[in-house]
Amino acid sequence: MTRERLVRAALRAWPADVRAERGSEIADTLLEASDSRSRFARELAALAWRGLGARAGAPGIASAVLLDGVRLAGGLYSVLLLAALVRVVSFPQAPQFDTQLALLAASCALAIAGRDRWAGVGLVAIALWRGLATPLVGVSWFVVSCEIALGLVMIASGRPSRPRRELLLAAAVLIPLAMIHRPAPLEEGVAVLALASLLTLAGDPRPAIACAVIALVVGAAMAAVSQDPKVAAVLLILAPLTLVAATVRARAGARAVATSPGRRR
Amino acid sequence: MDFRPPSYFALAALIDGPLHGYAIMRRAGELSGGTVRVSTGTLYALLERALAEGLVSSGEPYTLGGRTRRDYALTNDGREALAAAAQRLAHAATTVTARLAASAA
Repeated sequence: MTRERLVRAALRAWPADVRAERGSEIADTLLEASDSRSRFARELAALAWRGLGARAGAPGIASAVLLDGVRLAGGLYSVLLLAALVRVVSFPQAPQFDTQLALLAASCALAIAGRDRWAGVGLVAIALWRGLATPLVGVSWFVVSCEIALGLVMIASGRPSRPRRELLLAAAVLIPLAMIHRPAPLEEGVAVLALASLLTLAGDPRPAIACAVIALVVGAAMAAVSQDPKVAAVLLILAPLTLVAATVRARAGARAVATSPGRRR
Repeated sequence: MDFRPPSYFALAALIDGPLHGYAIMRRAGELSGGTVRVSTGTLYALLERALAEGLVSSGEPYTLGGRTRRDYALTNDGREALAAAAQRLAHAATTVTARLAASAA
Protein backbone atom coordinates (compact mmCIF):
# COMPACT_ATOMS: atom_id res chain seq x y z
CA MET A 1 0.00 0.00 0.00
CA THR A 2 1.38 3.41 -0.91
CA ARG A 3 1.93 6.17 1.62
CA GLU A 4 -0.90 8.17 0.11
CA ARG A 5 -3.33 5.29 0.59
CA LEU A 6 -2.21 4.78 4.19
CA VAL A 7 -2.76 8.48 4.91
CA ARG A 8 -6.22 8.32 3.31
CA ALA A 9 -7.02 5.32 5.53
CA ALA A 10 -5.85 7.15 8.68
CA LEU A 11 -7.90 10.18 7.67
CA ARG A 12 -11.04 8.03 7.90
CA ALA A 13 -10.75 8.47 11.68
CA TRP A 14 -11.54 12.21 11.29
CA PRO A 15 -15.06 13.66 11.10
CA ALA A 16 -16.47 13.66 7.54
CA ASP A 17 -16.72 17.46 7.34
CA VAL A 18 -13.04 17.91 8.27
CA ARG A 19 -12.02 15.28 5.70
CA ALA A 20 -14.08 16.97 3.02
CA GLU A 21 -12.68 20.43 3.74
CA ARG A 22 -9.07 19.72 4.74
CA GLY A 23 -8.39 16.10 3.78
CA SER A 24 -5.98 16.78 0.93
CA GLU A 25 -4.29 19.61 2.85
CA ILE A 26 -3.72 17.36 5.91
CA ALA A 27 -2.47 14.51 3.71
CA ASP A 28 0.00 16.76 1.86
CA THR A 29 1.28 18.26 5.13
CA LEU A 30 1.80 14.81 6.63
CA LEU A 31 3.64 13.51 3.57
CA GLU A 32 5.89 16.58 3.54
CA ALA A 33 6.66 16.24 7.26
CA SER A 34 7.51 12.52 6.97
CA ASP A 35 11.24 12.68 6.24
CA SER A 36 11.87 9.08 7.34
CA ARG A 37 10.00 5.79 7.57
CA SER A 38 9.82 5.94 11.38
CA ARG A 39 8.59 9.55 11.31
CA PHE A 40 5.93 8.55 8.79
CA ALA A 41 4.74 5.73 11.09
CA ARG A 42 4.56 8.12 14.08
CA GLU A 43 2.76 10.76 12.04
CA LEU A 44 0.26 8.20 10.77
CA ALA A 45 -0.50 6.89 14.27
CA ALA A 46 -0.87 10.44 15.64
CA LEU A 47 -3.16 11.38 12.76
CA ALA A 48 -5.52 8.45 13.40
CA TRP A 49 -5.46 9.02 17.18
CA ARG A 50 -6.13 12.76 16.95
CA GLY A 51 -8.86 12.10 14.38
CA LEU A 52 -10.70 9.84 16.81
CA GLY A 53 -10.35 12.57 19.44
CA ALA A 54 -11.71 15.20 17.04
CA ARG A 55 -14.59 12.90 16.10
CA ALA A 56 -15.49 12.32 19.78
CA GLY A 57 -15.38 16.01 20.62
CA ALA A 58 -16.75 17.49 17.42
CA PRO A 59 -19.69 19.84 18.07
CA GLY A 60 -22.83 19.29 16.03
CA ILE A 61 -22.11 15.67 15.20
CA ALA A 62 -25.35 13.71 15.35
CA SER A 63 -24.00 10.91 17.55
CA ALA A 64 -22.70 13.46 20.08
CA VAL A 65 -26.12 15.14 20.18
CA LEU A 66 -27.81 11.76 20.71
CA LEU A 67 -25.39 10.85 23.49
CA ASP A 68 -25.92 14.23 25.14
CA GLY A 69 -29.68 13.58 25.05
CA VAL A 70 -29.23 10.23 26.83
CA ARG A 71 -27.01 11.92 29.44
CA LEU A 72 -29.73 14.50 29.97
CA ALA A 73 -32.20 11.63 30.44
CA GLY A 74 -30.17 10.50 33.47
CA GLY A 75 -30.45 13.93 35.10
CA LEU A 76 -34.15 14.29 34.27
CA TYR A 77 -34.89 10.80 35.53
CA SER A 78 -33.18 11.59 38.84
CA VAL A 79 -35.38 14.69 39.24
CA LEU A 80 -38.55 12.72 38.41
CA LEU A 81 -37.63 9.88 40.76
CA LEU A 82 -36.82 12.26 43.61
CA ALA A 83 -40.11 14.13 43.14
CA ALA A 84 -42.07 10.86 43.02
CA LEU A 85 -40.37 9.42 46.10
CA VAL A 86 -40.77 12.60 48.15
CA ARG A 87 -44.48 12.69 47.27
CA VAL A 88 -45.15 9.14 48.55
CA VAL A 89 -43.05 9.49 51.70
CA SER A 90 -44.89 9.75 55.02
CA PHE A 91 -42.39 11.01 57.55
CA PRO A 92 -40.76 9.83 59.72
CA GLN A 93 -39.27 7.16 57.45
CA ALA A 94 -36.70 4.48 57.97
CA PRO A 95 -33.19 5.99 58.19
CA GLN A 96 -32.02 4.10 55.09
CA PHE A 97 -34.87 5.63 53.03
CA ASP A 98 -33.91 9.12 54.23
CA THR A 99 -30.32 8.41 53.20
CA GLN A 100 -31.48 7.24 49.76
CA LEU A 101 -33.48 10.44 49.30
CA ALA A 102 -30.50 12.55 50.40
CA LEU A 103 -28.25 10.68 47.95
CA LEU A 104 -30.77 11.15 45.13
CA ALA A 105 -31.11 14.87 45.95
CA ALA A 106 -27.30 15.18 45.86
CA SER A 107 -27.28 13.38 42.49
CA CYS A 108 -29.87 15.84 41.11
CA ALA A 109 -27.87 18.82 42.42
CA LEU A 110 -24.68 17.47 40.82
CA ALA A 111 -26.47 16.97 37.46
CA ILE A 112 -27.78 20.54 37.57
CA ALA A 113 -24.30 21.80 38.45
CA GLY A 114 -22.93 20.02 35.37
CA ARG A 115 -21.05 17.31 37.33
CA ASP A 116 -22.48 14.49 35.23
CA ARG A 117 -19.93 11.89 36.26
CA TRP A 118 -20.63 12.25 39.99
CA ALA A 119 -24.39 12.52 39.34
CA GLY A 120 -24.14 9.22 37.45
CA VAL A 121 -22.26 7.60 40.35
CA GLY A 122 -25.12 8.73 42.63
CA LEU A 123 -27.80 7.30 40.31
CA VAL A 124 -25.99 3.96 39.99
CA ALA A 125 -25.52 3.81 43.78
CA ILE A 126 -29.21 4.51 44.39
CA ALA A 127 -30.27 1.88 41.84
CA LEU A 128 -27.95 -0.74 43.35
CA TRP A 129 -29.11 0.16 46.85
CA ARG A 130 -32.77 -0.17 45.87
CA GLY A 131 -32.04 -3.38 44.05
CA LEU A 132 -30.17 -4.97 46.96
CA ALA A 133 -32.23 -3.56 49.84
CA THR A 134 -35.63 -4.68 48.61
CA PRO A 135 -36.58 -7.98 46.98
CA LEU A 136 -37.01 -7.16 43.30
CA VAL A 137 -38.62 -9.37 40.72
CA GLY A 138 -39.49 -9.05 37.04
CA VAL A 139 -40.21 -5.50 35.98
CA SER A 140 -38.44 -3.96 39.00
CA TRP A 141 -35.18 -5.47 37.84
CA PHE A 142 -35.82 -4.00 34.39
CA VAL A 143 -36.28 -0.49 35.82
CA VAL A 144 -33.25 -0.81 38.11
CA SER A 145 -31.15 -2.07 35.17
CA CYS A 146 -32.25 0.93 33.09
CA GLU A 147 -31.36 3.28 35.97
CA ILE A 148 -27.89 1.70 36.18
CA ALA A 149 -27.48 2.03 32.39
CA LEU A 150 -28.46 5.73 32.49
CA GLY A 151 -26.05 6.30 35.37
CA LEU A 152 -23.22 4.57 33.49
CA VAL A 153 -23.83 6.77 30.43
CA MET A 154 -23.57 9.82 32.70
CA ILE A 155 -20.34 8.49 34.23
CA ALA A 156 -18.87 8.00 30.75
CA SER A 157 -19.93 11.48 29.63
CA GLY A 158 -17.95 14.65 29.20
CA ARG A 159 -18.84 18.22 30.06
CA PRO A 160 -22.54 19.01 29.47
CA SER A 161 -23.64 21.98 27.40
CA ARG A 162 -25.23 25.06 28.98
CA PRO A 163 -28.82 24.53 27.65
CA ARG A 164 -28.91 21.15 29.42
CA ARG A 165 -28.19 22.71 32.79
CA GLU A 166 -30.89 25.33 32.34
CA LEU A 167 -33.43 22.68 31.33
CA LEU A 168 -32.53 20.47 34.30
CA LEU A 169 -32.83 23.42 36.66
CA ALA A 170 -36.27 24.25 35.26
CA ALA A 171 -37.31 20.59 35.54
CA ALA A 172 -36.05 20.41 39.13
CA VAL A 173 -38.32 23.32 40.08
CA LEU A 174 -41.35 22.67 37.87
CA ILE A 175 -41.81 18.90 38.20
CA PRO A 176 -42.04 18.83 42.05
CA LEU A 177 -44.25 21.94 42.00
CA ALA A 178 -46.60 20.32 39.48
CA MET A 179 -46.73 17.11 41.52
CA ILE A 180 -47.56 19.01 44.71
CA HIS A 181 -50.19 21.10 42.95
CA ARG A 182 -51.90 18.10 41.37
CA PRO A 183 -50.82 14.78 42.86
CA ALA A 184 -50.54 12.36 39.93
CA PRO A 185 -48.69 9.13 39.31
CA LEU A 186 -45.15 9.35 37.97
CA GLU A 187 -46.34 7.68 34.78
CA GLU A 188 -48.75 10.51 33.96
CA GLY A 189 -45.99 13.05 34.53
CA VAL A 190 -43.76 11.15 32.11
CA ALA A 191 -46.57 11.09 29.51
CA VAL A 192 -46.96 14.88 29.77
CA LEU A 193 -43.18 15.24 29.53
CA ALA A 194 -43.13 13.02 26.42
CA LEU A 195 -45.83 15.13 24.74
CA ALA A 196 -44.04 18.36 25.67
CA SER A 197 -40.76 16.99 24.27
CA LEU A 198 -42.29 16.83 20.80
CA LEU A 199 -42.66 20.60 20.89
CA THR A 200 -38.90 21.06 21.43
CA LEU A 201 -37.98 19.03 18.32
CA ALA A 202 -37.91 22.09 16.10
CA GLY A 203 -35.06 23.54 18.15
CA ASP A 204 -32.67 21.53 20.29
CA PRO A 205 -33.36 17.78 19.87
CA ARG A 206 -31.62 16.78 23.13
CA PRO A 207 -34.53 17.41 25.54
CA ALA A 208 -36.80 15.41 23.21
CA ILE A 209 -34.28 12.53 23.16
CA ALA A 210 -34.04 12.62 26.98
CA CYS A 211 -37.81 12.56 27.43
CA ALA A 212 -38.22 9.79 24.86
CA VAL A 213 -35.63 7.59 26.62
CA ILE A 214 -37.42 8.03 29.96
CA ALA A 215 -40.83 7.46 28.34
CA LEU A 216 -39.55 4.25 26.74
CA VAL A 217 -38.25 2.88 30.07
CA VAL A 218 -41.39 3.80 32.05
CA GLY A 219 -43.75 2.74 29.23
CA ALA A 220 -42.10 -0.68 28.89
CA ALA A 221 -42.20 -1.19 32.67
CA MET A 222 -45.91 -0.25 32.77
CA ALA A 223 -46.79 -2.48 29.82
CA ALA A 224 -45.02 -5.42 31.48
CA VAL A 225 -47.36 -5.30 34.48
CA SER A 226 -50.46 -4.13 32.53
CA GLN A 227 -50.58 -0.89 34.53
CA ASP A 228 -52.56 2.01 32.96
CA PRO A 229 -52.59 0.45 29.47
CA LYS A 230 -53.67 3.70 27.79
CA VAL A 231 -50.84 5.76 29.29
CA ALA A 232 -48.37 2.94 28.54
CA ALA A 233 -49.55 2.82 24.93
CA VAL A 234 -49.13 6.59 24.56
CA LEU A 235 -45.59 6.34 25.92
CA LEU A 236 -44.62 3.35 23.77
CA ILE A 237 -45.97 4.97 20.60
CA LEU A 238 -44.63 8.47 21.25
CA ALA A 239 -41.15 7.48 22.46
CA PRO A 240 -39.87 5.68 19.31
CA LEU A 241 -41.45 8.32 17.05
CA THR A 242 -39.77 11.08 19.06
CA LEU A 243 -36.42 9.25 18.96
CA VAL A 244 -36.61 8.85 15.17
CA ALA A 245 -37.62 12.50 14.67
CA ALA A 246 -34.89 13.69 17.06
CA THR A 247 -32.26 11.60 15.25
CA VAL A 248 -33.31 13.07 11.90
CA ARG A 249 -33.20 16.55 13.47
CA ALA A 250 -29.74 15.91 14.98
CA ARG A 251 -28.38 14.72 11.61
CA ALA A 252 -29.83 17.74 9.85
CA GLY A 253 -28.24 19.98 12.47
CA ALA A 254 -24.87 18.25 12.04
CA ARG A 255 -25.05 18.72 8.26
CA ALA A 256 -25.96 22.39 8.73
CA VAL A 257 -22.95 22.92 11.04
CA ALA A 258 -20.64 21.06 8.65
CA THR A 259 -21.68 23.08 5.63
CA SER A 260 -22.00 26.46 7.40
CA PRO A 261 -19.86 29.00 5.49
CA GLY A 262 -19.09 30.91 8.70
CA ARG A 263 -17.73 27.90 10.60
CA ARG A 264 -14.17 28.12 9.39
CA ARG A 265 -13.72 31.85 9.56
CA MET B 1 -8.23 26.34 25.36
CA ASP B 2 -5.69 24.13 27.09
CA PHE B 3 -2.17 25.31 26.14
CA ARG B 4 0.17 22.35 26.32
CA PRO B 5 3.64 22.92 24.84
CA PRO B 6 2.80 21.75 21.28
CA SER B 7 -0.35 23.93 21.15
CA TYR B 8 1.46 26.86 22.74
CA PHE B 9 4.37 26.82 20.28
CA ALA B 10 2.13 26.07 17.28
CA LEU B 11 0.00 29.16 17.99
CA ALA B 12 3.12 31.18 18.83
CA ALA B 13 4.41 30.31 15.35
CA LEU B 14 1.66 32.54 13.96
CA ILE B 15 2.69 35.67 15.89
CA ASP B 16 4.77 37.05 13.01
CA GLY B 17 2.14 36.41 10.35
CA PRO B 18 0.05 33.77 8.54
CA LEU B 19 1.65 30.38 7.80
CA HIS B 20 0.52 27.13 6.20
CA GLY B 21 0.35 23.84 8.11
CA TYR B 22 3.85 22.50 7.42
CA ALA B 23 5.41 25.93 8.02
CA ILE B 24 3.66 26.09 11.41
CA MET B 25 5.14 22.71 12.37
CA ARG B 26 8.66 23.83 11.40
CA ARG B 27 8.38 27.23 13.08
CA ALA B 28 7.02 25.67 16.29
CA GLY B 29 10.06 23.39 16.37
CA GLU B 30 12.41 26.36 15.92
CA LEU B 31 10.70 28.47 18.61
CA SER B 32 10.93 25.64 21.13
CA GLY B 33 14.61 25.12 20.42
CA GLY B 34 13.89 21.68 19.03
CA THR B 35 12.26 20.43 22.25
CA VAL B 36 8.77 20.29 20.75
CA ARG B 37 7.88 18.41 17.59
CA VAL B 38 4.29 19.01 16.53
CA SER B 39 2.77 16.12 14.58
CA THR B 40 0.34 16.68 11.72
CA GLY B 41 -2.51 15.14 13.70
CA THR B 42 -1.82 17.33 16.73
CA LEU B 43 -1.57 20.43 14.54
CA TYR B 44 -4.86 19.94 12.72
CA ALA B 45 -6.72 18.91 15.89
CA LEU B 46 -5.41 22.15 17.46
CA LEU B 47 -6.37 24.21 14.40
CA GLU B 48 -9.90 22.76 14.42
CA ARG B 49 -10.36 23.79 18.08
CA ALA B 50 -8.69 27.17 17.59
CA LEU B 51 -10.90 27.90 14.56
CA ALA B 52 -14.02 26.92 16.50
CA GLU B 53 -13.00 29.20 19.38
CA GLY B 54 -12.09 32.09 17.09
CA LEU B 55 -8.39 32.11 18.06
CA VAL B 56 -7.28 31.48 14.49
CA SER B 57 -8.69 32.31 11.06
CA SER B 58 -8.04 30.40 7.86
CA GLY B 59 -7.64 31.53 4.28
CA GLU B 60 -8.68 29.88 1.04
CA PRO B 61 -6.83 26.75 -0.10
CA TYR B 62 -4.17 27.05 -2.81
CA THR B 63 -1.64 24.81 -4.48
CA LEU B 64 2.11 25.34 -4.13
CA GLY B 65 4.69 22.89 -5.43
CA GLY B 66 1.95 20.36 -6.15
CA ARG B 67 0.76 20.40 -2.53
CA THR B 68 -2.52 21.75 -1.20
CA ARG B 69 -1.92 24.59 1.27
CA ARG B 70 -4.01 26.93 3.36
CA ASP B 71 -2.72 29.82 5.46
CA TYR B 72 -3.71 30.29 9.08
CA ALA B 73 -3.51 33.58 11.01
CA LEU B 74 -3.78 34.50 14.67
CA THR B 75 -6.88 36.59 15.51
CA ASN B 76 -6.98 39.30 18.19
CA ASP B 77 -8.64 36.80 20.54
CA GLY B 78 -5.86 34.35 19.75
CA ARG B 79 -3.20 36.94 20.59
CA GLU B 80 -4.90 37.70 23.90
CA ALA B 81 -5.21 34.00 24.77
CA LEU B 82 -1.56 33.44 23.89
CA ALA B 83 -0.47 36.48 25.93
CA ALA B 84 -2.46 35.22 28.93
CA ALA B 85 -0.87 31.78 28.62
CA ALA B 86 2.61 33.35 28.38
CA GLN B 87 1.93 35.40 31.52
CA ARG B 88 0.79 32.28 33.41
CA LEU B 89 3.93 30.42 32.38
CA ALA B 90 6.16 33.40 33.28
CA HIS B 91 4.48 33.70 36.70
CA ALA B 92 4.86 29.97 37.32
CA ALA B 93 8.55 30.11 36.32
CA THR B 94 9.21 33.15 38.53
CA THR B 95 7.51 31.54 41.52
CA VAL B 96 9.40 28.27 41.24
CA THR B 97 12.74 30.01 40.58
CA ALA B 98 12.25 32.21 43.64
CA ARG B 99 11.34 29.21 45.82
CA LEU B 100 14.38 27.25 44.60
CA ALA B 101 16.66 30.24 45.30
CA ALA B 102 15.14 30.71 48.77
CA SER B 103 15.53 27.04 49.69
CA ALA B 104 19.14 26.96 48.45
CA ALA B 105 20.11 30.03 50.52
